[in-house]
Order: sequence, then C-alpha cells, then structure tokens
Amino acid sequence: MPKFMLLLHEAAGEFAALSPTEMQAVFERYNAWGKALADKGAMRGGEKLGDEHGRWLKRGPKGVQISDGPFNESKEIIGGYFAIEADDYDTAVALAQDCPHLDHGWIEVRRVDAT
Amino acid sequence: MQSASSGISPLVDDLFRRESGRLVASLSRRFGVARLDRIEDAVQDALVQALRRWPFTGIPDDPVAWLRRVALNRTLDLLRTEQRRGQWVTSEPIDAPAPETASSAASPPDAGDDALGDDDLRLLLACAHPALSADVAVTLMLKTVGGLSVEEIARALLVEPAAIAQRLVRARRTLAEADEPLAIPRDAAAAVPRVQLVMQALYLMFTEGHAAAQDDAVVRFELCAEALRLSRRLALHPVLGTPELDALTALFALQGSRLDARADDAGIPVLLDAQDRSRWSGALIALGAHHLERAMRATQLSRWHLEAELAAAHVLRPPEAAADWPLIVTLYDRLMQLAPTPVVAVNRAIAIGFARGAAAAREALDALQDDARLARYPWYHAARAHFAMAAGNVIAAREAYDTALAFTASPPQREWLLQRVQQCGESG
Repeated sequence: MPKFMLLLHEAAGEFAALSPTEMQAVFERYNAWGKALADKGAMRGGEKLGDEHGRWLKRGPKGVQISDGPFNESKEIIGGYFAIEADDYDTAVALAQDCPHLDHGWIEVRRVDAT
Repeated sequence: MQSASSGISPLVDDLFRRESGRLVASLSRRFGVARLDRIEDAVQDALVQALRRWPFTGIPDDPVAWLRRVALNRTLDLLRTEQRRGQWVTSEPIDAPAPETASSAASPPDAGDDALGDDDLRLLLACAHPALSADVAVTLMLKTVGGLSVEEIARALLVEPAAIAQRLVRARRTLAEADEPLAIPRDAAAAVPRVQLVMQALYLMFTEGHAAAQDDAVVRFELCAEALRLSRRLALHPVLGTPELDALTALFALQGSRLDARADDAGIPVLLDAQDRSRWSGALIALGAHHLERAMRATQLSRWHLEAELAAAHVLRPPEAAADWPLIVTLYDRLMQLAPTPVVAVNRAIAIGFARGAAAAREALDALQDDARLARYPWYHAARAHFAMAAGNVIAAREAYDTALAFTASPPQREWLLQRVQQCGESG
C-alpha cells in the first residue's frame, strides 16, 4: 500500500502560552487521533524534529557552503512528521483532516515515491 | 523508532497541572525562590516539549520522570545562560548540591516531624513572604503551587486577568530582590506567621477546583484533593497545626465528599436536594467529622469553623431530615461578620430564600445589586433567576439566566443553565 508523509508545519512558540491544563487537553486530542489511525492500521510511526533550524548545504564557487537554516526568513518550522499508509491521496487527506494539528498549524501531505 | 500508537494508555487526569506545581516547588527548593521566574519558564518549556514530542513518540513509560528530567535540564540551561551574561551574581555555583544536603551540617540530618518535608508545602510558605502583600502572595501561591492559569486565578479572586498578570510580575520582582535569596523558612516555627495566607490560598484552590468553571468536567477533583492534602498535612503538623487548620481541613473533606454526586453521568450539575447520597464519600465524611471535632478545641471560632459547620449542616444530617435552613442562615450571618465577601453574601441570600421564601431572597439579592464584583459572577444571576421563577416571574427569571449564561464558559454549567432557560419557556 502507498505510504504518505504528513509534515506538520507550525509557528515557533505556538503552544508557549497555554496553561498546563490546556496543554494536556491538546495533547490528549493528538493522542486520540494517533490511536484512531493506529486502530485502522494506517499509522506507520512518526518522529519529532529538533527545534533548531538545521543546516543548509549548497555547492558554491568556493566549494560546499554550509549555512544555518532560514533563521530570519520564516518563523515557521516543521515540528515533526507522521508516516501513514493509504490507498491514494484522497484517503491520506481524509485521514489527515481530523488531525488536531490543524488548530495549531498546517499539514503538508506527500506521497513516498516507491515506484 | 517507537510507533506513535504505543502510548495509548491515557495520562492521569490533570497530570500536567499537578506536575507543573510540583516541579516548580522542587526546583525552587533546589535553586532558590529568587529564581522563580526562570524556574517557571523552564517548567512551562518542559510541558510544551512533552506536548510537542509525545504525539510522535508515544507517552514515555514514566511520564513524570521524563518531565522532571527535562525541566531540570532546562532550568540548568536557563541559569547557565544567565550566568554567562553576567546578570546573575551569586556565590553559589548552580550545580551545587541541593540546599537540603548543603545545610545538613548546620541542622541534624533527621529534623524529625518539625521538618517541612514536602517541597510544595515549603514553596507555599515561601510564597507567603513578608515582603509581599496578602493579595500578591495568594496570587503567587495559586500560580506556582496550584498550577492555575492567570484566567483561572482571575475568576477565583474576582479580579481582572490583566491585574493578576501584573501581580505576578510584581511578586517575582520582589522575591528576586528580597534580601534573603532562599526565602523558604528552614524551621517550622519561623513559618507560623505565614500560615494564615497559606490557608487563604488553599481555600481558593479548593473553590476553583469545586467550581471548575473552564473545564468540561464539573469538578476538577485533583485540585480539591491537593488542597485537602496540603491542608491536612499542615493541620497535623506538630508546630504549625491549629484548630483553624482543622476547620479548613474539615471543610474540604465535607465539601469534597459530595464531589462525585455534584454531576450526573453526562456531567450536568445536580442540585444538592436531588443528589444521590449513596455517591457521597463515606471516607471523606468521616475524615471531615474527625477534623471538625479536633477544630472544636479552639477558643474562638474562625470563618473556617463556620464554613465547615455549613458543609456539615448538609452532609452530616440524617438522610430523612430536611436541611435546617434557619440554622444555615444564622451561620451565614456570623460568617458575614468574619468574612464579608460577595460570594458569601450571595449564598446567604440563597439560604434566606430557602428559609423564608422567594420574596425574602429577592430582597437580600437586591441589596447586592450595586456590588461591581458580582456583576460578572454567574451564580449571583442564577440565584436571582431561581427565586424570580419561584415567585412566578418568568420574564425576570429568563433575563437573569441569560445574564448568568453570558458569564459562564464551562459547557456543563452552560447546559444546566440552558435547561433552566428552557423551563422558563415552558412556563411562559
């Protein structure tokens, strides 16, 4: 079955102002969503990415140039990703549509090219 | 990689709020109350990390230990950054052993029952710092030990949220500038003058748990249980314990005994008269009765005695007996002399209504009309509505219920009020 990546974009500091009780409530929603996908057999795991902006490597005239990620250009980061299985884009989008992350950022759905 | 579905076991209700209070307490004990603002930031960061990481990794096997480790590391990071910037002058390296170890040469290793063992008990007493005004100290206790948000504190104290935020800023500045950097009293005797303020804070913590206005659950049981636990520990403390603390503990236990019965299975509030007494907690009633008895060694009755008596008037009466409303009115009359708060005044008016009828209730409620603090208090308006309805004045009842709804955020409480509004419609 085709595999899709859900890339979770969010603004840096999105959750910083929540009270502890609110944070737990938000987490429970993510947890319930993840469990629902697992119960359907669609969840193939996920990982959180580090909050630093990473490194960019580009070949320039003087060899490989290494720079920090787009620090000032954008305060948006990819918080992490989920890997899911779905028949096609429509099904993948339907599964992502219930994700509580949509209240806190946006989701990019990409198919893993296995052909 | 762990599967995202492995952490399906739900977290303990209220884990984040409870741990935020405990973490701030234990880290303040270790690094000093003067660093409270950085410690609170670090704890908040740890909770945010949990919220952002656990959806991907699943809940760790020991979530509490995970939070502790992350919060400690984050505190050390923040303090080191500050030290490098030279903002922070101290003779004590931040990686020094915790104060309790460092001071063990000065005091016997086992200080016995007089020691203030619990971190949160010590932090509570530290917040009751003599340099802080009572309002500010109570606000700080609710934030740090209670783990309440600014909004929740604002509601508990009937004060605007902006004013609460200001108080917290002022409190942290004062504590950071205080002469004694580690303001936690080392021995219990030094803490005695601070207990009054702590009692106020515990009372508000319990009340907020009881009202639970912003939650979907009618009762945030954890908050009430925490207030009861801390109050009981103080009441039984050989140096700090007083009859007032016994009265406060009795009040919490007796009120707490009915928590389960205050909502039906759908979470909708159930009025006292309609409550299923088999859902009251016998263990808590017994605990309350025990502390009420201990409280009677007092030479003078405090407001906590009166409030505990009020709770007992409902809980300790035999099932077949009706509530003794004239006695309840008398208790409220005396309570108004000791603690003339707007909320007590509203409850007194309600008791008058049950003792003497709707007209008397209306008169008592009208007398409170000009109190600005009650304008946003939903249960004042709900009480007006109840007795307007009892007097057959459907239009006034409906209006007052609408006003109450405008100031209620909690879904179950809204549902309850909407049911009342509907009854107005059926009679009108």
